[in-house]
Amino acid sequence: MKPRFLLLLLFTIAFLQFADAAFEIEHLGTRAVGIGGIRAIADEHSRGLISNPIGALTVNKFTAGVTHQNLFSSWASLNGFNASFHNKMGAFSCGYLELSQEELSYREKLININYATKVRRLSLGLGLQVTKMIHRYGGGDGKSLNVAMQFDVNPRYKLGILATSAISKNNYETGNTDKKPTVISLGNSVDITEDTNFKLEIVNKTGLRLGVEKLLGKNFIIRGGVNEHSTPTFGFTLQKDKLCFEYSLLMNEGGYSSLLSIMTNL
Amino acid sequence: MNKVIKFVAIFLVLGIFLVQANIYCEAGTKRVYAAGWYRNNWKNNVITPLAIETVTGDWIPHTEWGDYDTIIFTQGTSGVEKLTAEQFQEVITWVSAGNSIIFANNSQNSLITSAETYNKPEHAPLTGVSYYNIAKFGPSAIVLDNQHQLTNHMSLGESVADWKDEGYYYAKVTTAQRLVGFNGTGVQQDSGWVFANQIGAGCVYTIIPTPNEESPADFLTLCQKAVLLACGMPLPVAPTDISPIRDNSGKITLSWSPSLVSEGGGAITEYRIYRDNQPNVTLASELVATIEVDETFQPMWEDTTLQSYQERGQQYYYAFMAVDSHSFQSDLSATAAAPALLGTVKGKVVRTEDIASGIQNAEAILIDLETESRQSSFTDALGFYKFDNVIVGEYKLSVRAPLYLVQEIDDLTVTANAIIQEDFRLIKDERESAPPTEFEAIGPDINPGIIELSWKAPLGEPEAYFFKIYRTLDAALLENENYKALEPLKELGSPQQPYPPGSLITLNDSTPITGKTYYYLVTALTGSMVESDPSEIKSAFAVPVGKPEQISPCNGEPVEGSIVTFKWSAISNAKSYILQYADNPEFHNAIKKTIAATQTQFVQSNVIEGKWFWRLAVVLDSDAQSDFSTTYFSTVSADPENVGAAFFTITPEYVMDNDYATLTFVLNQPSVVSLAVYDPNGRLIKRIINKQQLNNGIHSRVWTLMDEKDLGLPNGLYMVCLTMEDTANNVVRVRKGVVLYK
Repeated sequence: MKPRFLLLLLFTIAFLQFADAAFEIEHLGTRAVGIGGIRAIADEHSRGLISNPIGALTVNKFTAGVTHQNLFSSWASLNGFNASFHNKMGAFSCGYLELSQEELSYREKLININYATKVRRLSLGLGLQVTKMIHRYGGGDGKSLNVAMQFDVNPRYKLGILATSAISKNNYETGNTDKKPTVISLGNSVDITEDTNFKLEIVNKTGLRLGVEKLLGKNFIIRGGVNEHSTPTFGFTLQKDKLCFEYSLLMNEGGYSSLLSIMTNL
Repeated sequence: MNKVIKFVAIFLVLGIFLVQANIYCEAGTKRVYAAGWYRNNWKNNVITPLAIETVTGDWIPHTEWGDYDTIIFTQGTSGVEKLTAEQFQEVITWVSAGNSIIFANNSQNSLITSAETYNKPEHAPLTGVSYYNIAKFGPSAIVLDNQHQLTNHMSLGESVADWKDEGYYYAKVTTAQRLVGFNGTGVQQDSGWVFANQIGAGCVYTIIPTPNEESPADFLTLCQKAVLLACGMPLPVAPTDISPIRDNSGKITLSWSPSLVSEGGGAITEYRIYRDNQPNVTLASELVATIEVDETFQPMWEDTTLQSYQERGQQYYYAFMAVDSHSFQSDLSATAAAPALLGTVKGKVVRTEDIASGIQNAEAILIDLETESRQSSFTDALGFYKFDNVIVGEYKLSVRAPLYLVQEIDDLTVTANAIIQEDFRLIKDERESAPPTEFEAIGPDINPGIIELSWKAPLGEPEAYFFKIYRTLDAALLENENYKALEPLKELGSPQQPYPPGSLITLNDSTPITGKTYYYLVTALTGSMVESDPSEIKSAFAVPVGKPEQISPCNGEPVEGSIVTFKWSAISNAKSYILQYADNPEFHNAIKKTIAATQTQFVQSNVIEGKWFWRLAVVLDSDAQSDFSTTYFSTVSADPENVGAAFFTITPEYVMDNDYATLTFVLNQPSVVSLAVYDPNGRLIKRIINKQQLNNGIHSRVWTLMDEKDLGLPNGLYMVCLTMEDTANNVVRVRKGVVLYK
């Protein structure tokens, strides 16, 4: 076993003892939203790096992007950016997200650092998030840890697991500490054909997410899915040279939420 | 390495970019330049209280009438001149231009005759008057409407009293333009009703010169400016050379040069003397004397109305008015001042043991023996004190300094312009009195918010002149002389006299924070400010004051319209209630209302649409104040039709201590309702109502802060969406946020 893999494993085990996530455990990336919220094996880049550090392994050397999310028909918004690069040491990424809701004077800021490496067919990723909540009565802060593993059974079939846990402390008079349940997602992905990819993910054993992606031509990917609440999702990716444009849409009774990411490969 | 640098650089640039993306005048001085109106009435009852600035005298061309609110024509007593043809032509020109005008007279002559004379078809603007047949010896009161047309008049022999029952005389002064007059023929003119004026455009107000109980209050609303133009006899001239002389006893004697009689004017029959303690003497000032001019008349008067030397110590101002045989009044004379009688008391305070050096900061106290008022002067670095402008009279002067015996002079007489020198040699006194005894501190249940303190003055010499009361929340701060580092809660006493030994002293502390236990001690101080040992330390619990209970609007209750009526329960022994309301739950920039204890509601109009928070506290008779009640809020909507769709609230919005949040909404009509909680990723977290048919009215549901699987949720922001669909399939969706913050 390679030393860095061993080191990463030990690091993961150590963090699992205390690490948890912040206020909102899952921050889904644009691509993940488009395929029913699947992220354990979404191996995506862009904002997905926040929640699945393995995604950085797919990055071609250096990628930077910005993200904007319109939540519930403009009731709230989320903006962020991220960057990652990949070399022989593995993949490194970092990102920043800010969620804001004006009526409640609410702000939630998140900084994320990820590392991932791949040893043969096993990919392992570790992500650390620090979150700051600011609102009318003060705010709070929290930390979270994302641990992801992915095993490529063969080039067309992959298995993944992603665990996220959080701890948050509010800084109000009580000083309450709140530990939240760990979210574990088990996912698998199979390339049905060369240009069609099917994904299935089980969330906390009970929720089921389904998603399909299809490559149309060389530069366009369309995707759709259903999340664990039976909400349909839709998304697409348009790639041209070093630019990548991603969009996803989720609609339910709460309104529509759309995500938009623009990335560049350098 | 270059890639790493590039990576970091782009990261920073992106970061910076995104973070960035985130009337009156003195009535007497300007009065009618014509006879006829009893100026006493104008002065006392009409002009001054109504704040009319009037201009009289020479004829003012009609081109300047626009400078005034009202143009009034009057005339004098019988036999005085009428308006000339030229003057009346100016009237016609003025009225022809669409302006208002008032004729006012009190006899059957002159002006009305003029009106009759000029009420001819060729004087078109005044044809209205003509048609109403105002005849010589006929009615002399006329009413003009806002079109300058005569609308009513008073018949000969009628009085205003005859009109009032018709209802318009008193009550409609603000809705119609009227001019009401009174024919002086055959009635008592010296108590007569006189005229009105017309104010600006659109209104005429009736003036009653001698308002009585039946006079409505709004009679006293008038214009700021009027011009009274008339012709008549000259007014008397005010006396001159008024000279007040004041002797050392404070007595003021006035002398003056009598008024000269103008040609054609009446002889002076009396002088009226007005006095004020301000330089601006007006007819509103006190009328202190009316001096008749008879055979024994001498232009000299002694003001015997000033008795107290306190009054003598004050500067007074006088002005005169002359009244002639026609009862015409002059303007007020120039004001003359009678100076105050003041003296100076000064001296030096030294130590007996070192008379060369003065005592700094020794307090000299000058006590007025008549009024018992006191003033202090502290000595400077050389020991000098000084009292300037001391009103003449008898005083007691005492001097005291810490650690020295008090010295007093009981009979100090201050005379006018005198400089009295009084020096003191203070004798050291370091004696300490015994501490106060029988000290008690009680927070009675029947008197919440108050802690009652009582103790007895120490026995024996030296006597206690002062007491210091110390208070803390921590008994240790009072023990072992630690209290000496504290600021006393209160100091009682005066240097004038000591407390009788053994006397009971009580003090109510109304300033504690209720619900807390306080510790007290008290010390006694001698006249030379030597502090005794402390009393025992006593503790008392400040019983909380009961808070008012809010009745309406209930918490979360929507309010239709822009008027909010706050109601609460009464608290016994309340002196007042304090109501606060604001557009934020922190009550920043809150509007505060203090409401008398007799009221248990407050109506606020013109409330802006939105969410308003309110709370109450009570102030008891004892001045103890309760804490504020629980904050309630109401959503005010000016459009009742939208209340149902718009009113949806979550309580609390920031969940910190609660294990649940209450979701309250109002339906205007039966609807199919869905209520669900979503996370910021747009995902459904908890469905609370799933397409359920609900009747109109208020509904509420409880969310236990769990997801569909009854698992806890991370802290953070959640969105609750209320979806309402009426029978016409109109869908209204309202989103509210809730922050878990546990």
